[in-house]
Amino acid sequence: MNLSAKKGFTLIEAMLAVTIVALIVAPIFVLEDTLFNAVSRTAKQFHRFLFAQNFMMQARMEQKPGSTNFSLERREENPATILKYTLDKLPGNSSLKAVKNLYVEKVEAKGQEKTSPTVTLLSFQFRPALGGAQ
Amino acid sequence: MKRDGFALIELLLTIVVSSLLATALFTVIFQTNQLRQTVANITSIYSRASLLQSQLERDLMGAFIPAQVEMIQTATAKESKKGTPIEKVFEATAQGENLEMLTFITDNPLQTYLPIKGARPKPRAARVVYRLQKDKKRNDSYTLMRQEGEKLSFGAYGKQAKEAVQSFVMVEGIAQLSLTLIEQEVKKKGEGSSESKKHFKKVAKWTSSKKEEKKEKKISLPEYVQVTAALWDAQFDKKKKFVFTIPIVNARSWQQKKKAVQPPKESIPKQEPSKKEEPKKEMVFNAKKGAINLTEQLKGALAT
Repeated sequence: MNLSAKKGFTLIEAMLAVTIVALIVAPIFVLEDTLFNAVSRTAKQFHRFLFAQNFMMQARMEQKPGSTNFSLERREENPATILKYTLDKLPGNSSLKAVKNLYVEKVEAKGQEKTSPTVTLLSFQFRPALGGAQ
Repeated sequence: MKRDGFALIELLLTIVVSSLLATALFTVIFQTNQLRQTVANITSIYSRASLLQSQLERDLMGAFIPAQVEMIQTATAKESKKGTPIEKVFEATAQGENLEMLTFITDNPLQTYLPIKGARPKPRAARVVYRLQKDKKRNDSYTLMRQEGEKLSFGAYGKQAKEAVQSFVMVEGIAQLSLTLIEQEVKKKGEGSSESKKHFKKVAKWTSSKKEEKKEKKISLPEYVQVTAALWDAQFDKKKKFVFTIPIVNARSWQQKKKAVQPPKESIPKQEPSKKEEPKKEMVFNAKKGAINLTEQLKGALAT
């Protein structure tokens, strides 16, 4: 076979070139999709954090003065979030247990998507018994 | 056989392959551009929301009623005439649905300590004024301006003031910004009942004009300030709504103080010449000038 007489590409060469190009372009699509999802997820998480902060204040408003056990639940839209507030005693293994009249308040903000992580906001409340009794 | 040029099938194949490649590349470019816009919008909205929340929280959490106003409130009419009360201790006005102006005195201002020898640092009490202005380019957009200065009198912050305190742009691209001022009211459940119910009164305006302050001696702070803001994205295409609830820590202590027994008229502190040994530790109240000498206090603190 005279090799010098061969001009142009064979079909297999052309197919190979297209496959290589497709292989290079495909990850870019996947990467863009991942990036887009990551950005929107971060934005949602930040918004949920703001929801949680605001909800903590609202829950404080709705409590009776001096209450040491309180829970509240609310739904927010855009992004869809379920907010749960609890005011309770410190857990048994807490190193702060030695401090009297200290309570923990927790707000959990969870998205409806299964993959979205829960945003948790923690704060401590010093609630001495009303009337000055310890 | 001698071949010249390309066969039709080769040309067609080349066109098909290159068009496929071009389509893929254009899609990538288009999507990258879209992603860039989305990221820009998200960053723009959330950074402005974050700035709005943190600055308002920082200012409002430290809002207080200065000692001078407290003294005038508890003093006799004769005594109160001597001093010039600080007007607009806390005032929020609205224009339609939007905030017009918010001003108060705070002990938590933006600190700008200059590293120059002999430079005068700012005192830790300042008046802050927020004003919502219409955007010059767009009718549906507003800009939040912020003024902050050590002059507690409101006059220095007016537009007509000779040496008006500089106003800075804080947040741009606001579609809507409104305040809800929340005041706590404790109501008794019924007649003869000792049980009381906590109730929150929500208002959109909080006025404490000079006349009201003198006449009714009613100066108070709201317990919470709820800020509702809708911000435009970078392209002014979509808007996102945010709600922040900010507590005013000093509001409750002021209410408790009001409930406490009022001191007898004789016990109102008169201005005494300060002792030479330790003049810097005391807060000097000058009834004639009607101002708390915070600079003196600060200098003392710096000296010690």
